[in-house]
Amino acid sequence: MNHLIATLPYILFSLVIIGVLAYSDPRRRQLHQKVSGKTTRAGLPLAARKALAWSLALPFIPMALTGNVAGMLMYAGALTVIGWLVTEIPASVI
Amino acid sequence: MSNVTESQPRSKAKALLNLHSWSGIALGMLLYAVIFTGTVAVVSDEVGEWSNSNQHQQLLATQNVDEVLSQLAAQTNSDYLEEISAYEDHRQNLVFFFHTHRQNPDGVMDEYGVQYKVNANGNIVQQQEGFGSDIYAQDDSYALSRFLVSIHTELHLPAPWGLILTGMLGLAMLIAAVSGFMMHRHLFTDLFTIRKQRDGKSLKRDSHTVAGTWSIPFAILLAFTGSFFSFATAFGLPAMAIVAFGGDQEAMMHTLVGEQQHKSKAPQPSASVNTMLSDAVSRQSAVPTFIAISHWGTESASMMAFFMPSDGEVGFAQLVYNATNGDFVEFKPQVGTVPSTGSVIMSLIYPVHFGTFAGFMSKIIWISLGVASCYVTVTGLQLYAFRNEKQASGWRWFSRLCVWGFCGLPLCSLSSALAFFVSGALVANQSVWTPLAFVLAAAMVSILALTVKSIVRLQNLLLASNGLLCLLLPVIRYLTSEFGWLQAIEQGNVSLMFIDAVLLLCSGWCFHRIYVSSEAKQSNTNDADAIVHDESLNDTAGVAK
Amino acid sequence: MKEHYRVLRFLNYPRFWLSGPATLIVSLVVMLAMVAWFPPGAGNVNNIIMPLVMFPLIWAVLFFYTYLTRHMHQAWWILGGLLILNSAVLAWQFWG
Repeated sequence: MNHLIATLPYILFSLVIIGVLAYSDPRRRQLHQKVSGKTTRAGLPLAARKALAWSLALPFIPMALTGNVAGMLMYAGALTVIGWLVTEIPASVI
Repeated sequence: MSNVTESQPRSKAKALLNLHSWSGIALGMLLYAVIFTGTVAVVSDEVGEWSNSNQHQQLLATQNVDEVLSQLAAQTNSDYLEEISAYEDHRQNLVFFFHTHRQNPDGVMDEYGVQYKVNANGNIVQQQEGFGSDIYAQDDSYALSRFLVSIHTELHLPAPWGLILTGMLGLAMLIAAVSGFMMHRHLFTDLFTIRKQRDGKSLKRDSHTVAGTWSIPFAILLAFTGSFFSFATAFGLPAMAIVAFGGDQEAMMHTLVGEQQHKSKAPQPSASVNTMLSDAVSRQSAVPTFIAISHWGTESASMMAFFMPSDGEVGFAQLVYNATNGDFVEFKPQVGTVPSTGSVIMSLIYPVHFGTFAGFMSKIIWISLGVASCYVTVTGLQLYAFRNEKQASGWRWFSRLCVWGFCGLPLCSLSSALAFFVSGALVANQSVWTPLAFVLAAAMVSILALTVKSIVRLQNLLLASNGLLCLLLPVIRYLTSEFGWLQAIEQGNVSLMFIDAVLLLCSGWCFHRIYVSSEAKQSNTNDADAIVHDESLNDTAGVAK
Repeated sequence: MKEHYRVLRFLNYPRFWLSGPATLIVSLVVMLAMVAWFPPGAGNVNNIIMPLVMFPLIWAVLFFYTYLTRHMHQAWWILGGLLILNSAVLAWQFWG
């Protein structure tokens, strides 16, 4: 069970990062502005968003070092599902 | 061959779009069937436990296996002592299969012998002689999970055609996923946005693209591992036997299993199975899924204990014991006698495909991946139906086909579960009624699909039936077993609660969809033209990209 | 009748034969011949397992190459070369 518990923080980390990426997505903000008519603050610059996206690969390093192969697979799977589900949340919410 | 060539140089993007569309359209519905049942197959063990309202008792660790085995061995034909497998079934029995290996009537190497089911008191509750594949096919305790898994693996078509078809579906999925990835130029830009139509519904193209893009790596992985399973079983292994072993399948199996073909049969008392089992349990901190004892009571006797992946591992573990003295020999590779790349890959491929490597957590993630893949298939076909329907009314049959398949398959699967419980309560043959109910439900759904004029009404009708069955099944399960949630909580029966909860959740989703559909119908009537305009615009934009 | 012909017009395209049957046959022959030329490893099983595992990959690589290439002649030559080479290995395995 230890490797499962060790993987959970990384999954939560990916949830936060993907949430931020969705929140700062220019097209999403544009869509929200169009629907709500409100002007929102500018999002993160593209370079910062790319850096955030790459940071999603960071948890693989500690998991590889501790030999948590099952955790790496689970993290990759969770990343996929979280990405899809967060994007499905309407732009008016995130 | 014809000399016709494509007159103009093809645009790579258009060629990929054509490939993506046609691979999906031609095999999309069957692919949906395989993916949907594959999602169920991830929890096939849990479905087995749930359908029998059972909790695994770890009988291999708690029962006196050695004593039962000795008693059964004494009353069994000595030919069948060549190999003995033992595992716990879904009805709290230990199943012992004393067998040898023979070709079955289909010409395939199979196990042949006597199977005993022994209850927790050590009494034989069932005894059967025959081929292993036949005995398993008639085992009522696995009737529901076996039926659903078999749709996933071979669509219930005769061997090897079912496997070849599912293998081809795997390749079609591989094509769709890779071509989808290759034609997508703005991957990062499109990853987080689903645009809305004027009526507030998500744009079908965006829903398909976003779910597809996120799940591309796993779609490729699952398609690749799935087509490997199908093709390897259908023709790969027999073909390898012909090339490498001159057609001797038995010799190849001995090489792959890592066993000597001819072993000494000189009698020698075997060591206690209990001692070897307790050693295996302490080494792995888990109870084996099954054990296999070879050449019991001879000087070649050995025992193999098979374990699901342990802490942090992805591959299975196999512990081998010398059954003449009970000594631990080795952690045996999945294939062959010494560690190899082939063996490592073989031990990874099943857990990676079915997500059975980290208990419930990995299974829940793999179910979600299955749902995402189903969603991609459904939205892809719906998108195609929607576009063509608006261009030519002759394509309405395709939308009808989509509703028939997407809502019909879950309904038929739920009907087979209903039949499993009802036939069990009436002491009828569950192995017959479970698939029969599926066929009857499929016939009913087909009649409805042909007779109900409005596609929306047909969809709502099928959704309501699905919702109703999802709601009823936990109740019927409780009424037929008298095993409720309070007992499940007391015993920590997670499988049972999980499947019940998923069914209730699905029921809620079905009724929610009906509500949303009826709400949308009212507001849609005035905006229909606007929606067509929206989707057409995005079609053009998509192709131009 | 004309409608039926339209549906089957893909049979007239050489690319269909190249990416369809030809790619499938070559992938199968490569898989079978790998038994003979793939290093069996210490466990003596890699030459049986790896071709089975790699079959979908070999097929996918050849399929995408033949489907997307603009140089059809080159693709025919490559498939032909792979077929002849691996058939020779198979023939050697059986009768050599």
